Amino acid sequence: MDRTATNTSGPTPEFVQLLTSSQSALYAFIVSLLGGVNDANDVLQETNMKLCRKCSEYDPQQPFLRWAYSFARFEVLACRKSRQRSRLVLDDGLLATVAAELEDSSEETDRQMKMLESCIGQLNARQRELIAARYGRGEAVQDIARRLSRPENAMAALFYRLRKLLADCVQLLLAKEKEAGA
Amino acid sequence: MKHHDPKDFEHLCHAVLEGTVTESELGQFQEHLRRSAAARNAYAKQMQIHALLTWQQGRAAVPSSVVLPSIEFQSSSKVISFPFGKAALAAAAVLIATFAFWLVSDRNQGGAVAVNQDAPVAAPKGVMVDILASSGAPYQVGQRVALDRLEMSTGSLRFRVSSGAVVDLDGPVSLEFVDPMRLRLLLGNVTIDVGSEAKGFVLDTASALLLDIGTRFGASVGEDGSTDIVVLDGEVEVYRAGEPPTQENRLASLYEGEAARMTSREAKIQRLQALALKGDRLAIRGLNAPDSAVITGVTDNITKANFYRCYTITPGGMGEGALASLAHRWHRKLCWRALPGQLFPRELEGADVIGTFQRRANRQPLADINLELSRPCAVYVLFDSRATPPEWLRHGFRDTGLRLRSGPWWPDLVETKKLKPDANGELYVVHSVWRKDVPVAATVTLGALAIKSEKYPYAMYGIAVKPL
Repeated sequence: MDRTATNTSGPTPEFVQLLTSSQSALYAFIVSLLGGVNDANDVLQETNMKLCRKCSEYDPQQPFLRWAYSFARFEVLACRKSRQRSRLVLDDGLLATVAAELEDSSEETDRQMKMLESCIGQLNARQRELIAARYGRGEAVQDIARRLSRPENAMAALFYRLRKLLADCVQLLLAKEKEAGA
Repeated sequence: MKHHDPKDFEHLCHAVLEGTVTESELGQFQEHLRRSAAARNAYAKQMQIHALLTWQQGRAAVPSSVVLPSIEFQSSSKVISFPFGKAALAAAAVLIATFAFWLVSDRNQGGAVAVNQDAPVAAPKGVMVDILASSGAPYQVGQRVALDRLEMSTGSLRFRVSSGAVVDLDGPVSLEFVDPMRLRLLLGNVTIDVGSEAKGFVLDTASALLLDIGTRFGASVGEDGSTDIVVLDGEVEVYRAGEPPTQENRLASLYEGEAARMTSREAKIQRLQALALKGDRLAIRGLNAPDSAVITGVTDNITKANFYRCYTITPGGMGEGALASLAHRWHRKLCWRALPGQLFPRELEGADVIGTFQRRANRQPLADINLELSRPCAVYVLFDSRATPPEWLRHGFRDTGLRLRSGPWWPDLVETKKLKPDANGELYVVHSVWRKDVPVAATVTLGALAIKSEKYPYAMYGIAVKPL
C-alpha cells in the first residue's frame, strides 16, 4: 500500500487544467525574477511540485496565476540562496519590487502565448528569420550579427526593438480581446 | 538626479538578457531599475517576451523536465518523439494525462493507489522520495512517497531521495530502498545523480557494490544478475558484492566516459565497449542493447588492462548541439555544431551519433573501431580537418565537402594547442565530413588515427550513421 505524506485528495482536473495553461506564464515570471533562463527550468519544476502539493489550499474564486506566483517567487528566492548570491541580476529589494509589479499586471495565461504567435505572424520575413535564428535555432546574437555582417551593437538593439514590438503587440491584442469580451 | 540614456538602458538590458553583462554594467543596470518604474516595466516586457519566445520555440527544457525525462509516448510497437517546437503542447497533454491517470486510480481505489501487475508496489515504511517526473507510473509529479520497494514493468519515473540524490528509471525495474543513502537494484536500469549533497551514495546489486563519490552514473542489472555501470560524470568506485567497501575489495575506480560490466558468478570486472544515450540528457536506455535501428554494436581492438573507455550511441541524435563525447570539463560539453553563419548540414541531421573518446597522449592504445550495422546505411566519419586523412579514410570514404565544428574545447590539451579562439574566445575544431555507403548489413571497420607511438595533436574523429 502506498502512503503519501501530503494531501491524498490530489488536484482536480480543473486545477490541472489551470496549472497546465499557466506554464508559460509561470516560466516567464520566473525568468524575469532570475534575470535569465538559467535555472528557470528547475525553479519551474519545483514550483509545480509545490503547487500540486498545496492544491487543496487553492481557492478557485481567486486568480490562479496570482496564487501560483507567490510559490514561484518563493522558489526563486530558494534558488538564489543556493546560488550563494553570486551574480544576481536583481538584488532583494529590486526582486520584491519587480515581483509585485508583475503580480499586479499579469492576469493572462495561455492567451499571452497565442497572441505572441499571432504577433510573430505580423512580423516581416526578415524579422521572423531573426527570431527563428535566435530562439528557434539558438544562435547567439553575436553569431547572427557576424553572419549578416552587421555590428553586434546594432544587432543587439534590433533584438531589443523586436522584443518590444512583440510585447506591445501582445498587450494590444489582449486589450482588444478583453474589450470585445466585455 | 543622474540622467539615464535610454540607449544605455537598452544595451544593458540586452546584455543582462543574453547573460553577457559585466559586473560594472550590472551595477548601472540595477541603478536604472531602482530609479525608474519605466525601466522596470521595459525590463519586465523584455524578459517576458524573451521567456515566451524561448518557451514557444521549445528551447526551454521545462516541458520535458516537468513531466517526463523525455517527451516520448511509447505504444506497443513504436515510439513517437515530439519535435522540440511541439514540446510544450506535448508536455501539457502528458501533464494532464499523468494527473488524470492518478485521479482515476485514486478515485477508483478510494484514495489508495491501485496495486496490480503493472503498478509499483510500495511498502508503507521506507525512504521518502519526491516524484519529479512520471510517465505511465501511478505517481504524480509533486507527490511525496515513502518507498521501501519499487517494481515497475513499464513507464518511467524520476524522483529525488531525501538524501538529495536524483534517480531516473525506466520499467522494467525492481529496486529496494535500504536507506536514503543506499538503494539496491535487483533488475533494470537506473541513472543516479548524487550531486554534491549525497557523496558516498551506495548502489548495491547482486554482483557489485557501487560507491558514488560525487557524480552521475548509470547502472543496469540483467536477468543473469550481471551489472553494467557507466560513469557520466565524476567517479564511481566498484567493489565486490556483499563485501565491505575497503581498499582491498575495490575492483576499479571508474571515471566519466568509462563503462564496465560485473558478472555475478566470477565477480570479475570487464570493459563495456558501447552504451546508448537518451538524447542529450545522458540518461541510459538498455546499456547492452543500443536502441538504434541501424547500429547493433560498436567495438574496438583495445585489449589493455584496466581500460574502460566506452563509445556512446545516440539514436537519431545528430544535429546542432549533439553530444560528441562524454568528456567534459565543468559544464562544458563537447558538442557538434554548424560552422559560424551556416546551418547544420541537413544530410547529417537525425543520424545516429557515435560518441568517441580522445586518445590520452601516447599512452593510450590506438583503436580500430568496428561498427556492426543491421541494414544499408551511410557511415560518416567527422575528421579533424587540420590533420592529413589516413589511407583507410581516403580510399574507403569520400569527402562530402561538408564541414562541422566540435567544441567548445578547453585550452590545456595537446589537441587544442595550436587552435585559435573564435570571436567569442571559444576553441572549436573544424571537421571534414567523409561518407561511405554500406549497401548491406555488415561490419565496417574504421582505422586508427595515426601510427603507434606517433604524436597526434589532433582531435579524435566522430562517427554518424544514417539508414539509406
